[in-house]
Amino acid sequence: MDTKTWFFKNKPAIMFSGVVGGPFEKKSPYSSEFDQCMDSLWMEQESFEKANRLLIEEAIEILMKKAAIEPHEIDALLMGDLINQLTPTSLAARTLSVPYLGLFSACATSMEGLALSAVLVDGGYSGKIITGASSHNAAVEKQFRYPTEYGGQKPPTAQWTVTGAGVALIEKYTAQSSPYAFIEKATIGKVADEGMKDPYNMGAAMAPAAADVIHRHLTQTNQTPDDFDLIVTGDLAWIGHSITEDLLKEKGWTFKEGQFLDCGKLFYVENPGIQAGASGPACSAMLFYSHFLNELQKGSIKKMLAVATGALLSPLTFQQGESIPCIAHAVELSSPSNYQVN
Amino acid sequence: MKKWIYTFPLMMLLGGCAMFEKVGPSELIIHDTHEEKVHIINEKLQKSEELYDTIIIAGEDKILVSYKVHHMNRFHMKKIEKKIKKWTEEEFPDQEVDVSSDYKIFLESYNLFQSWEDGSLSIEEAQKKLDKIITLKNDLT
Amino acid sequence: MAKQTASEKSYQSLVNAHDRKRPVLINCIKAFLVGGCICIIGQAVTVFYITFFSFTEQTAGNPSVATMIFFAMFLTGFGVYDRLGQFAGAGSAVPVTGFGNAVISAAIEHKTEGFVLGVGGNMFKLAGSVIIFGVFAAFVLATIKTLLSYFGVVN
Repeated sequence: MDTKTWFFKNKPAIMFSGVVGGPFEKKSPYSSEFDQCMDSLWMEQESFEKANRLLIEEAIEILMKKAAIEPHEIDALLMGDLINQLTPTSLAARTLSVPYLGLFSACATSMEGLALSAVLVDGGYSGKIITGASSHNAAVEKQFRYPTEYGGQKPPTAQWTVTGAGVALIEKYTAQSSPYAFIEKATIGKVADEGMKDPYNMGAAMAPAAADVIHRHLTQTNQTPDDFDLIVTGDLAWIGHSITEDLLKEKGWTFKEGQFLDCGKLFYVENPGIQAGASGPACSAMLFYSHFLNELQKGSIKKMLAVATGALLSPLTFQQGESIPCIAHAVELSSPSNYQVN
Repeated sequence: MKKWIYTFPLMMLLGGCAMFEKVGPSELIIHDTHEEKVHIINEKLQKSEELYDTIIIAGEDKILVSYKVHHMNRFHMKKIEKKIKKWTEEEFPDQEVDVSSDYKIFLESYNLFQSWEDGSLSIEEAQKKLDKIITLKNDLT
Repeated sequence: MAKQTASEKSYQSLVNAHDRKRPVLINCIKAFLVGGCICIIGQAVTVFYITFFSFTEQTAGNPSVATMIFFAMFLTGFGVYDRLGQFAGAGSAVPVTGFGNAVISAAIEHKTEGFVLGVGGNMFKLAGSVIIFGVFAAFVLATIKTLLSYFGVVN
């Protein structure tokens, strides 16, 4: 077997989370579980990029308030976004003034950050780590597509980038703490590229990466889908998610009804304005760090596999006719209720 | 919003019909010397099926012919204009005849025609107005 | 361009099975209706200029186009035109208002980078190629016509 899954022995856990959304995210069926939703896309900032930075800062502030910690107690910040050279995240890190690692896996950043944080905490290198991801719809449109007010028609395969930020505090479990979820294992994805070139059909481009990492995680940990309550992908959306399900069926993995979900499908349910579904780093980060964490803590989900998928394209590469390289990272999370029983 | 989408074009359509209502063939003779020619032109235009609503105005030295083309023949407007122009040149080699299918020229001609009929214009004033219309027609760039 | 490998080909057929196609016929009808409405408004503006100002059918074109672009500017600025574009597609992109929208949306978008490098530098990033290739096509056609009339093929 090639690259191995990481098994965490020292119980790294998600202690707290902070989730901030934009104005459109209020329409999400999970909006009540978000900590805050902004009222406008501008968020009283001069530019959409600054608004993206504000989202990150707000999310981290909410998280620190919940955890009752000061910035100097944070050992590292592992975050990323989609905008030019991660500037919104870097500027937010400047405000916070904490040790910082900027991450880029496009929409898979949330799980890349979570896996790396778990490694650092598990290995004893860091105490408290904040990890997460953010995106801003208008800023992403501006960079990757057309101006926001441009009247171009988007095909039904296009996806809607979520405006928001989701962050989580990772710490080693101690008897005194009451974590939301434990990070059990993580599998790092390989870049998959099946020659898809259409930037308006990201789901289809990302599906092979997602299928590959799920398949490897299951085989390398000797598990089957039945061991999980839920397997949730990041932002494959309606098209990519059904392709992934077919790809996994080819490899012999089948799922029960309602067991294989996708944040891109769940985020806004079916809203004609969003075409094929939601996308963006914030899509998976916001849902994993709000709804699914709450469910894990309650124990209604005992064990889940969180898979975030990312399309690693730039405006330059697709204009030059390069196909879209994609990646997916899988992190296995379990509910604290599993341990209380034992 | 939805209703608006349907009612709007309908309104425009009806409004458009009212705007281009038929006024019938008219001739206006400021200078009697051209009366004969005007009648000949009018007769000729009445025979052509592509046209409706023609106005012929004869001034001191110029004759202005403006007309409307039936909608289905609008694709051949250039051809029709050429045909009429050629005909007038052959018929009256020493007479300057201006031919125009432009809606603005027609509108102005019609206004001139009406105020002439009312008797509110003197010969000089009418001549001046006609010259103005012809200048406007020749500015078409 | 590199040829598709066998796995890429089989994957492409899987993607096609799940693909959501553009509803071409519906889109065409929508484009026809909305584009037609825009043209009716444009025609109304032209008639307005002909009736109330001393413009003829030929000369009324320029002020009408300017007015239509002015309308497009307002709709773009108020965030309506992009929604109209999503609904109508080519219907709102092909008339001159679509061209106006391409310029204006880019100008609004890049205002945050300042007036010189932002607005000035990016205003024509979408519409620029239309202008360039429009001028180039006009040049080619004019050259062909000049040559043909020089050699007496057409007059």
